[in-house]
Amino acid sequence: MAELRPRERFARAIRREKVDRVPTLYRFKKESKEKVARIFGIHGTGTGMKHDPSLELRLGNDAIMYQIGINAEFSHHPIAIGETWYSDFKVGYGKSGLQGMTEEQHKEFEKTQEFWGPAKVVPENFPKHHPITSMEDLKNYTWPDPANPRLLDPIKEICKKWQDDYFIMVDLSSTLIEAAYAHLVGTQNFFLYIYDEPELIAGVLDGLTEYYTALGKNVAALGVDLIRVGDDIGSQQGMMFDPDSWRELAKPRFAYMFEQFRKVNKDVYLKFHSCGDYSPIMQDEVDLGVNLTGLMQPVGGNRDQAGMKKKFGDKIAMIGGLDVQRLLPRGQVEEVREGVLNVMKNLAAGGGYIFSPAHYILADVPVQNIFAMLEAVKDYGVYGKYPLN
Amino acid sequence: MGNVPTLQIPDGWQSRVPAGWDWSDLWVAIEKGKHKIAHEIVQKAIDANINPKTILDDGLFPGFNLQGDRFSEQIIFIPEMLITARAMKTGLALIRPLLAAAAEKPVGTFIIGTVLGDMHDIGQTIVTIMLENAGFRVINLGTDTHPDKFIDAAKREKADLVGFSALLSTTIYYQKVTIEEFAKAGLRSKVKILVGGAPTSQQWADEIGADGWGKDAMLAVQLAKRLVKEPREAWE
Repeated sequence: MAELRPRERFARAIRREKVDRVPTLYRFKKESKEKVARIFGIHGTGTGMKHDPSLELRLGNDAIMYQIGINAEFSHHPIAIGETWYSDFKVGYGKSGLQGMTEEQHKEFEKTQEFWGPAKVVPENFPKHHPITSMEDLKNYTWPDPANPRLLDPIKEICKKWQDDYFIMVDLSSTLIEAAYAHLVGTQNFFLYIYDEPELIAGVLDGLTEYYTALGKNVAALGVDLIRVGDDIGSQQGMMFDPDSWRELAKPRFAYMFEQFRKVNKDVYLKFHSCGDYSPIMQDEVDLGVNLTGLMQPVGGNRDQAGMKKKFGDKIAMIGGLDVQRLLPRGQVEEVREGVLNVMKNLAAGGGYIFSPAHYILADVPVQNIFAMLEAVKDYGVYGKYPLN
Repeated sequence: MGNVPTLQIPDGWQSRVPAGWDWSDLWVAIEKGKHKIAHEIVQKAIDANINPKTILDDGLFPGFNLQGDRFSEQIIFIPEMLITARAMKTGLALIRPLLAAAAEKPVGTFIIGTVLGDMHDIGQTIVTIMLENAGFRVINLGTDTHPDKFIDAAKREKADLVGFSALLSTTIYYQKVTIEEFAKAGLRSKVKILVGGAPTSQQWADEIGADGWGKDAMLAVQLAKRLVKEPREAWE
């Protein structure tokens, strides 16, 4: 098959049509991105809302993913030790990895650690103040502006600059349940309120639905190729809450959102992501008209990638599948190659698959494993050649 | 998966209560997470002079264990487990002073926390609730816990068990580091160490020299109950 342009390759894989090779999407956190970029002499290493795709495209990404949801800002925003930083959602965030240390002490502490060694603490931002814990809070809450040019202008730029060649995805994570528990309400509160304060939960989810519907419509109007919703409802071994509760709380709200997105752009593709094992609701994604789905954590509860492909492969395209929890950070080069081979055998055969590690490549992944993965994808990800012949 | 847990009714419970007494409403109240009803029934039981250990074993545990097993089997999920745990806790709060007065000791002292660099606490919060309800005295150090804090707490509380939680592949290394710090401090043989969290496995636990791995909250509690009985070097 003649070589396809990246955006064509990616779109065809989503439509489960024939492609020349398996399209790819690699995603990095800041530390790993800087590490790999240095090797290639690439200087633009922005992540989050300052995303610079230079490195990812160099590595073979067929798509560009830009994030603007509630997660996008906080996870990459510089937050000083001891500071609480408030986002437009009025959620307060702090920084981890620094318990009880001053900035100076932390710098000293970092020096004592091997530079890219296993014991390096990578400070992460985390939500610590949740703005909505009562009906009163909800009543007084003002939702952010879904037409904020700060969110939408960079997408226009990306489309202008890259869309001729590359497939443009915009991520609205976290979109609904996760946005409610992790950010707006607080996790333990959220799960108890499902029973204690169902009206508050419904109100928060309605507010999120309204906000993200408006935001997603604005994004769809810019002509992006795909809108991604990300909503963590899986834990390592299974779902955090009852699939039937999800069908009650989340499914109709997503159905409304998707319908509205498609009213603006009927051709926009949809992707659903959750961390963990959420295989019990895979059929619901199909019902919702989702085109592309992530997969369960490869070393979690449901490990049967071949079974999932067999059951759902003719209904929905799939992305992900290479273990980032054990294999990429701690495997040997040969094991990484074998991991890629197995993923290709299980998921890429027959098409409808985009190769990607199960999540971001984090700071603990050794460079040699990243290169082993890239090489193995070149070796095993070509249709018409082993193992895809 | 595959087992359908059933209510385990304690043998001979009738012999430990006044004639006409019935626990089934409390079993259901705990199962369904009705904490106000649980509170009322436990108070009635106390007023009827039922032995507090009997209230715990015959009244509170059956519903709690049923839900714990269902949680393990993914028949129920976090919200249901939380409301059951809250109902259990309501009952326990009433009988705990009586248990202490009757010189009933906690099963053991368990120090738990999420390791340095990691802010995730859903998993360890659930494990804490389950351990407390299973009779452990639990000191939860929260998230982002420096190895020194674990060591200080273990010394101060004369801990039997210590548990390290971590969600990220980048932070589970601190389970290893913290175990090494316990060894350096000369405390390794005084405590049993358990690890858990999404990227962990039995192999990881073995590799870093932990005494056990909790695949999920219920299994972590079972493991803790087993390990607390194993011999350890005594605290002075």
